[in-house]
Amino acid sequence: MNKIIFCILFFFLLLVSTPGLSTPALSSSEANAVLKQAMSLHKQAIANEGGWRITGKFMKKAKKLLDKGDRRKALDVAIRAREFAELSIMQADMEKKSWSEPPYLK
Amino acid sequence: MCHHYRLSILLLLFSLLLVNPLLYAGPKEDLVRYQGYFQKRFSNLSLDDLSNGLYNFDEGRREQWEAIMEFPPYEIAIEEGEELFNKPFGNGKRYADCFDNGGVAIAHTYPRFNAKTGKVQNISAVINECRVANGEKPLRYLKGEIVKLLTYMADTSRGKKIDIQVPDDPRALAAYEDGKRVYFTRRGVRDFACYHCHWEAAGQKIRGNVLSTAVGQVTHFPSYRSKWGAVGPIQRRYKGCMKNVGAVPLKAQSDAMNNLEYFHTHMSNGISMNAPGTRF
Ligand code: HEC
Repeated sequence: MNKIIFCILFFFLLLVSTPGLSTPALSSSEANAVLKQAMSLHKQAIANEGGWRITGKFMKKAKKLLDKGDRRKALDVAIRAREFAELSIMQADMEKKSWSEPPYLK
Repeated sequence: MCHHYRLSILLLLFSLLLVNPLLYAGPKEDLVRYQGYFQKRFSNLSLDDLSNGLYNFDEGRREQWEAIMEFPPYEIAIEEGEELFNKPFGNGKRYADCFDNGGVAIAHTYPRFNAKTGKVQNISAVINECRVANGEKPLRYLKGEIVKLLTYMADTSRGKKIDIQVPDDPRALAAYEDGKRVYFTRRGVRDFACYHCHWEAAGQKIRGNVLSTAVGQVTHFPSYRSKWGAVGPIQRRYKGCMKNVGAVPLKAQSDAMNNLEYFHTHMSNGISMNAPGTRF
């Protein structure tokens, strides 16, 4: 009897302690997908003369984390990279429409 | 009634047509405004003084600079550049054949608008065009042999006043205006445009550096920089400033960069060339 309880407990502990199973599964494809979006947006920003260097830095960091197998962190960092890329495109679009000389030059 | 209405619209249109040329500011009017801004703000400095950049505002750095200039670190580049410049290509032609006046004392008139291509060309672009036309491989931009050639050519313009022409061609004006856009565009994660540092903050300190005035910046390029340990052209410097505000720098020799150089050089029209120069 004791043995059975022990076995159940043992397997339960094993389950809980396995990182891939204790937390909801996160496949590398999620971070990869976000990273791909970030890359394509960053490319677009550069084509609009508005790329930010920090986007590239974060994409590199995300890639490194993915290689290390840290999928959760990789996803977080890839999301930040995508945000930077989106903001840089917004800046470039806005500037194309509304750049101006400063008022003291008029 | 209806008649009156139409008449007033016609009058309005007519008056707009009359006023418009007055409202329209071209490169000539820009020059007066831009140079006027700094002349008013730094009335103790002449236009030629402005070409000394940050050394106008930093006594300590100016002394170091004057000491360096006793044995200018760009002298070798001038000599090597002259040798390269005079060396014939495989087909016997020379660089001199591709430029006005054999390439001597013309650097102060570049970049120029090229009516054939409808685009702006700096000397580097003409050098490579010349090489390709004569069966040679183009040189890489920003570093190495091309910079030595630029250094020699700039030296032959020393003392000449910058003289950038925007000819009466809508494409030339468009290139100039595009350069203005690039200049006044905020970029990078810091959201800075060139003017944030080199107009309103000129003469002030930023992270240990005193900022030079936008007008007068081009006259000593290509320039030796201790940071580079070499002479470099102005587009290399532009890239540095773009990186400093967190932007992916524009590509050297791209239309945007060339137009920026066109606009930025034009605002120093009338100021004497003192290139090559040195900066830390
Ligand atoms: C964050 C501030 C900042 C911005 C924005 C900035 N620069 Fe600079 N720039 C500097 C500093 C600092 C230096 C070094 C000190 C000096 O010479 O002014 C410098 C130097 C230069 C020089 C060399 C001046 C010389 O005398 O050798 C040029 C040319 C120049 N900048 C052009 C530009 C252009 C064009 C832009 C816009 C694309 C720009 N800068 C934007 C900070 C800035």
